[in-house]
Amino acid sequence: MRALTINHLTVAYGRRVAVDDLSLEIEAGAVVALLGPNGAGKSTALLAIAGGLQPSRGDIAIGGIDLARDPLGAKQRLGLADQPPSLYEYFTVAEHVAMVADVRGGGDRAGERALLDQLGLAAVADRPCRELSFGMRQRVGLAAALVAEPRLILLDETLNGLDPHAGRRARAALAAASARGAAIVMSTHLLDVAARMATRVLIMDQGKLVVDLAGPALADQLATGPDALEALYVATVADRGVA
Amino acid sequence: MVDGRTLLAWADTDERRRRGGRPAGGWLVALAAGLALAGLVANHTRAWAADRVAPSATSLIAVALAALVPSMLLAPHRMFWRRDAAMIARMPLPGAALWWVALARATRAAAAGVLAATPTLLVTAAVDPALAGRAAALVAALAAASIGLVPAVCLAAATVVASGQAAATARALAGEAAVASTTLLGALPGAAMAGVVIAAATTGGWLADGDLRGLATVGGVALVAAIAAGLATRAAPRVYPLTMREVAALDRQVLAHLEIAPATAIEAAVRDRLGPARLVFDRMVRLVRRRYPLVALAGAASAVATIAIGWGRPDAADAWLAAVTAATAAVAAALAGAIRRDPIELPRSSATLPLAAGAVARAGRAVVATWVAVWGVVPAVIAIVASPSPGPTAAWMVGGGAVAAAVVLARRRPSAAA
Repeated sequence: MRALTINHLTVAYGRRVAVDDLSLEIEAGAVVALLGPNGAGKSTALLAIAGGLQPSRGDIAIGGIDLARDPLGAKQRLGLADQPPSLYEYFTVAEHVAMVADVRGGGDRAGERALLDQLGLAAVADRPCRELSFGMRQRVGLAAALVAEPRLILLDETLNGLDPHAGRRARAALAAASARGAAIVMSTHLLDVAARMATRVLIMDQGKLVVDLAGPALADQLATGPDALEALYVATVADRGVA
Repeated sequence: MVDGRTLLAWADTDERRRRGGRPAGGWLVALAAGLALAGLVANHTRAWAADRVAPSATSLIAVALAALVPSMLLAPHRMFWRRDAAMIARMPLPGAALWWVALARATRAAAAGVLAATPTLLVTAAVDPALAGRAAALVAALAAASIGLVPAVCLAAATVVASGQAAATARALAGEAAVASTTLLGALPGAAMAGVVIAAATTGGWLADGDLRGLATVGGVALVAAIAAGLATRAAPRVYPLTMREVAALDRQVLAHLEIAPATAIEAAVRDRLGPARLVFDRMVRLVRRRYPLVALAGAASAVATIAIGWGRPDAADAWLAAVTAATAAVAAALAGAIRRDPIELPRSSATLPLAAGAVARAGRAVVATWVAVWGVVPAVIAIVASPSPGPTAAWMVGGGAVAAAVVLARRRPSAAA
């Protein structure tokens, strides 16, 4: 079962093309690390997949449901943790997550509490989002992405800024989601996290997909050393910060 | 080192771009309010008739206060409780520049207040120039208090907050109740403003017949304002950056009081008829209650005023009803704008959650319609039914409401949900 199918996705801001002819298929249960330099088009691609941006061209299907034809059906199957997390500042953490679950059609207060507990948010469940630190907000964004068990989970640098315990909890929650069949696409600059979790690695540069590694090819690359992904990244993406 | 003029220019540029290039609405609102107040005064004094009379001292004091008190009330918001406060607090800005900006903003706000009072002064001058001159002096004294006294008291209050004394005072007064220490930043300027209002209220005799004690009061207010501004100008380079940092830090960590309450019966009844928009409506009413609690209070006050005027039928009742309806409509229009913006509406969230097309707009319309129905329409119907001439009364109210709503909607900021 394909969790996500993208055909020739192109997103342009005026004359600037942020995502250029991206085609991709992602299987259920896959954990995909989406790497690339700042401005490569990762966040734009994730937002377009989540239905938050109108593509200039191309088709997106989530769990086989075409996003353009049935946006409600498609969005019910996905969870997005965007960057920075879109939180209702005057809701408590529990209310925010419950609201997202209800909208997604999977409200289950006990399950939501368990998820908050799993992510280490139980102690702040009744605090308003506006009071939370950066890392806590990241965790609430992750909880909102995971709640109601969507089939596709999109994370935009959500694992950044987490302390080691929180990072471990987040990885465990994502592993559990993957184990029950959810596909995860996470944009990240944390290459060690990507190496540890990903079953597939994508690298975008200037709006285009330039690397797509999975299975034995990814295993071979990771076997080259502890900095295997960094070496691959540096070899693939030009450092345009140097004159 | 950045000076105040540069700092103000940056902030003005940011504000202008946030408005999407449209002119600032404050002046327009001040002028509209001023014309409305002058209309009430002119109606009361029959300014267009041969047997016109001069406005009463009470009505002139009321107009002067209505014009200038808002600028005093908002002083802490202009100086400390600003959107950019946290960023300003982190930057190495000299206190003198911050104070210069505070005075410049206070001067602008006071000028808008003077603009609001000017139409009434002109109406008065046409009947009694000497009375208009004394009223203008009162307006000038209030403007001086708004520019010099209240900002200086804000700075003093912020200094107390930064010293930590405010927290101790709050604990002493309220025990362990959650009282933010920065509350003092609203309380002390509010007390100063109350003093100014009381002083202004005692000038009726001077306005009416030139009693010198009133002149001394007006002069005293202006003198105190000048002295306070002078003292604050001396202290600001030393204390303003520190207070800015401390207040911003305290506001960030203060525990927000959240009213966790279920939907009211009316809200639930509306919500249950909204189909796919019901969850959005539910979210909006809860967030509005928490973020803008005064909206309900304003509605209740407007309803009470409408029913009291409609039932009691004082002189010029229709004009007063039009003014109250205008205020109600202005709040409703402001609410309509607020529910389309952060923190009530997050466009990225709405775009990526499975919400039916038009659900956000429908829920927003329902929120405003519910508020208008409860606080506006029901009291208006009571007032109209109680009127000896329901047709003209309804026309006055609809006219007042339409003008106010148009003014507020014209200055609406770009919507996040657009």
